[in-house]
Amino acid sequence: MSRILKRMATAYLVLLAVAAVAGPWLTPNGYADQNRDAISAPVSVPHPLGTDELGRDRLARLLEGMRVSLLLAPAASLIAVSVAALAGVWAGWCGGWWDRSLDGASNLFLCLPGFFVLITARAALPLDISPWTSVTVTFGLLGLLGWAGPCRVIRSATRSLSGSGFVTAAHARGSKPHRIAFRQVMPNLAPVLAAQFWTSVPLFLLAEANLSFLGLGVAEPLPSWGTMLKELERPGLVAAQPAVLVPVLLLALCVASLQVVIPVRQVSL
Amino acid sequence: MAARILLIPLWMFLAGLGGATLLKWAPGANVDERLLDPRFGPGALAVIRETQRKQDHGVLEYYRTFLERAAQGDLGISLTSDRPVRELLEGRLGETTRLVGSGLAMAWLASFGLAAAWLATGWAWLDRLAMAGGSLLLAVPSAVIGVLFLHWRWPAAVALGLVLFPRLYSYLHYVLGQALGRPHVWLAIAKGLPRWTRARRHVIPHALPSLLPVLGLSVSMALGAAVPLEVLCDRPGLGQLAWQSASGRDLPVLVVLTWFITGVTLVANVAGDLASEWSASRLCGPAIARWEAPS
Repeated sequence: MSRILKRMATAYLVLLAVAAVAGPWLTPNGYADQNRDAISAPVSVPHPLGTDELGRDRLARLLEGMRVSLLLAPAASLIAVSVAALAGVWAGWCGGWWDRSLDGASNLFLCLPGFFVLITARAALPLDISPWTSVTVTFGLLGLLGWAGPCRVIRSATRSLSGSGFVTAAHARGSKPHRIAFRQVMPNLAPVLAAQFWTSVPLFLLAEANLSFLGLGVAEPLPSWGTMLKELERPGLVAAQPAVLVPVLLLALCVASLQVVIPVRQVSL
Repeated sequence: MAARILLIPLWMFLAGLGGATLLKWAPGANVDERLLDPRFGPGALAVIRETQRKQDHGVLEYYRTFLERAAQGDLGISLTSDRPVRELLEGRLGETTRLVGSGLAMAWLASFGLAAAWLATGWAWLDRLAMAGGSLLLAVPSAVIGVLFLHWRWPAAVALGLVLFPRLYSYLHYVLGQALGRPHVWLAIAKGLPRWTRARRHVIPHALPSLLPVLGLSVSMALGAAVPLEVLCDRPGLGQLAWQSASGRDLPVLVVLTWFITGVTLVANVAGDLASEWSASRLCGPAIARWEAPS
């Protein structure tokens, strides 16, 4: 059962990635093209998911939004894991004062409500920036603020590796500490880093969706999965055009599929 | 633990300073609106800029003045609403406390009730159902849950409970599952103790030291989840105030909020850890408690 579920989840994610890449060829409409004759149009052949209140094709926007989110959430995850790897390996390897300070800082970051920190940091950045700058800033910020959780895991793994036999043997051979850290410890952390990378991707997809929902994420006219959900706020729209629920269903299925496919199941809050 | 309690004011100080620095350096921060007024000539604009330059003493000076005033009970004036920050906070604290308190109570009751029912009956389908429902809820952005509840006119506290439930239940499932595999539980099974007695006497008390720190963490999770819910459901609480101040670059309000929320979450976490240590010492005696208490 779990194997079938895993295969279905993988197939769905592959399908989603293909649809995101092939987006421009799947629909003749551009994501920013406004059709003044078809404002808030229902589902039809030229507009399979209808149009929004500016007459933009919802399918074209969804495909572009998926591409933006599916490309940049892993990029943000890469930033978070890179920062966490640098800090975690450094603290775990050096120990002492460095280790205690980093432990305190990561504890503080983990204790603070993530969404509050995110909107405070987003407030410090300009709101009238170009759409592509806004998307880069949003995901860059998610990456920079998401280091604390992975850092604790990497630090703990580094500490356990630093006491292992092959590290002791490398010390005995006279290898320099930084060489041992980069040549012996880092390669052995690869599975931990990969697990942290994959567990962060769905978190960033959801965080971007929440941030964009409140108007502090990706700027118009560029769509993302989060900005696509903003339409749900319009009263009565869900009943009149159930197609507005397609982006949220696809996002929920994507996050659920990632949870199924992710190799390491972690019990964390 | 004493060191952690002593460090709370230091972390609050650093979090407030970090927030102030971030916002002070933000592009467009502290720009006088008069500079955009076309009625002022170049001479007047130069005077305004010079006065502003003299008044702006940098972030450290701003933060020192802020702390001095805060010690006297003055938390500054909001730039967007032109009202004292203290008054804004006092007016909104009750709303957030009610929302977070009821959401937390619902989430804990639902997750603990389901986990206890699973332990007492041994029905695996109940656990699978709760885990599957939790996974689905985890996959939906909390803002979407909030807006659906707004359309259906359901209470925001239930939405908050639904956002928190999957996180709490998955942890409860893990901790209780670990406690179920302990040798004394196997002995209780061998003795033929009924399931509920086993759970009440041997599983739940031994899982408590690991569960109590989560009480503190859940306060932090609830405060984070309350931000989008308060904004979408138009609840005048601290989350909505944080969003309004973030959108309006209201530095005094954001610094006080960072300070306040850091303090609340740190105190909640330390309280959870203290309760965990206390329960471990009651359970196993002081010597074993040090060994058993979660790090």
